[in-house]
Amino acid sequence: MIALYFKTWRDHWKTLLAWCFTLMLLVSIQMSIYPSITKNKEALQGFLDSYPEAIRKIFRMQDYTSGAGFLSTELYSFMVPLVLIAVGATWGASATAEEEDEGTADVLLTLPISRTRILLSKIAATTTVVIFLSFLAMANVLALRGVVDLTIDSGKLFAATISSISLGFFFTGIAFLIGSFSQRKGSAIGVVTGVSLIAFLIYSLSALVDDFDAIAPYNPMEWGLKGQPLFNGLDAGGNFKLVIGGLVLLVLAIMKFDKKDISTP
Amino acid sequence: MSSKTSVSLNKLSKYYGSTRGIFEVTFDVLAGEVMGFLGPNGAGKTTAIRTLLGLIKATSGAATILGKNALIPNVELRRKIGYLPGIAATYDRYTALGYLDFIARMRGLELEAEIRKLARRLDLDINEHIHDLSKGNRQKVSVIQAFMHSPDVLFLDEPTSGLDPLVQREFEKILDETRDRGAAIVLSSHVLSEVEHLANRIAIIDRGEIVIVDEISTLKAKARRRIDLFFDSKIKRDDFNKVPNIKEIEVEDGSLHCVVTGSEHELLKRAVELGVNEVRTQESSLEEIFLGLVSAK
Repeated sequence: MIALYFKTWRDHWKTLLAWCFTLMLLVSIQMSIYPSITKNKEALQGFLDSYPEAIRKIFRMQDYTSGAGFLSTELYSFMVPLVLIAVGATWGASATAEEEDEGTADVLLTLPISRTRILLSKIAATTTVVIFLSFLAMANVLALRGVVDLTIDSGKLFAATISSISLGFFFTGIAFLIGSFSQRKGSAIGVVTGVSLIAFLIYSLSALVDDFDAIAPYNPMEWGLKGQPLFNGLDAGGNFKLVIGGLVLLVLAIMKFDKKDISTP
Repeated sequence: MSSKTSVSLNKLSKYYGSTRGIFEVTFDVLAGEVMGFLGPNGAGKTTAIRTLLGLIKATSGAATILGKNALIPNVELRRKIGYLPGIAATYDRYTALGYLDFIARMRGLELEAEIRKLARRLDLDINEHIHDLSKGNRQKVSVIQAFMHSPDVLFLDEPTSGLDPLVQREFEKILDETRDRGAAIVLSSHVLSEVEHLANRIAIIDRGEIVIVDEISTLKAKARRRIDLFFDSKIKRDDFNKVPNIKEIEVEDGSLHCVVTGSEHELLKRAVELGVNEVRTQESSLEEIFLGLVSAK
């Protein structure tokens, strides 16, 4: 299992490096503009207040000029979770579909290791990378907060990191499930990306469109983001739903993969 | 060859809709035996092997490998099996050694010495990245993958595809040694000449159904072969009237062309009596043998 765990990391190391770089760049660029925000705090707040209520709701711009408000709007309500979802979706969807797509599944699945253990190794590798990138973003914020004079409670930043991990884990579950149904990597990644974008769109618009109220309680983005952990600390209920939901999806993925007819390219 | 059955398929079926798949495939492979598994492309060879290995689920029937039910996942059983898929895909980003070492570790084994030994025999540089290797060299990697852990049962799906003649000869030696130590080998191919000197018996499959399972010698006797005989003088059709096992006879001046099914003995005896000076036998294609077997059924 260890060999397969490290193989999964090795297979994606170039893209992982690119994601690390992208994430750090994203965090650094966003944080570098914070001093100019605080410098023109009053003018900016007045400017933001002039935004239509709808826009302020969509981008959750309450208290934008505070450290928590700025990080929440610029990083933790969209960018960071999206990067983690993208990584979880790519690794998860390609975990089995890529092996089938490239024809390597035939040898792998006739080795003396059960399909369940094969999938568990790949799930473990994907979950670890989601956790790693989340803490990388957190470390980046902590390292730069003094430089840009941004005040943020470490405990609440940690809570936002946990929410991002939970979101990444949930979408990893979706990715593995779709990957276990699909035989083609490209279509699996496409479906997972589509699902996550629709979920995010519904979450963003739910503040404005009353019709979405009925489905909002079932939207994983709502579970991960609505609690606003940078303001309110850990949202235990939302994280619980994401983790349990992710686990259920992964169990379904394992059950499906276990019975699946493996295709050839 | 022992009389112990290593692989047994009993009415094994896999349906993909109504037209594709395999239907009640039945044959046994003994320990120390090479079973040639022949059939045209798309006949069902790969489907039968992949069903037996659990890569696809059987619709019905039974199968055992080394006495264990092959249709339910069994990790311990897989330790004793080697498999070379028809599409021998490997992890291209690895070196050949890296890939083979990964497979060995997945088997819980340390096999570097064996890998190096087989690589030397097959003339493969295992330090090269797989994506830089030619098709033939990639096939060598897959051959090593299938043999390196000294399995008791081997499934080889078109194993010599892309190998040059010299390497094919070494591959055949490795195959012989593996058989001689008592392994059961299923050798799938669509080319008869590739398996006829390696296999003890042959199973022929067509459109998902087994047409025949028999000894090579018996099959050869039944096979259709086109023979051309050239004489110094003119011959007549009537000169061969009483010769058995020949048909589709054509006589042109000093030559006779015909198809032989079974023994050539009487034909050659008569030809010598009439002063034959050249005999040409055309290697039967699988299709010709297949047609011969169907007509003989």
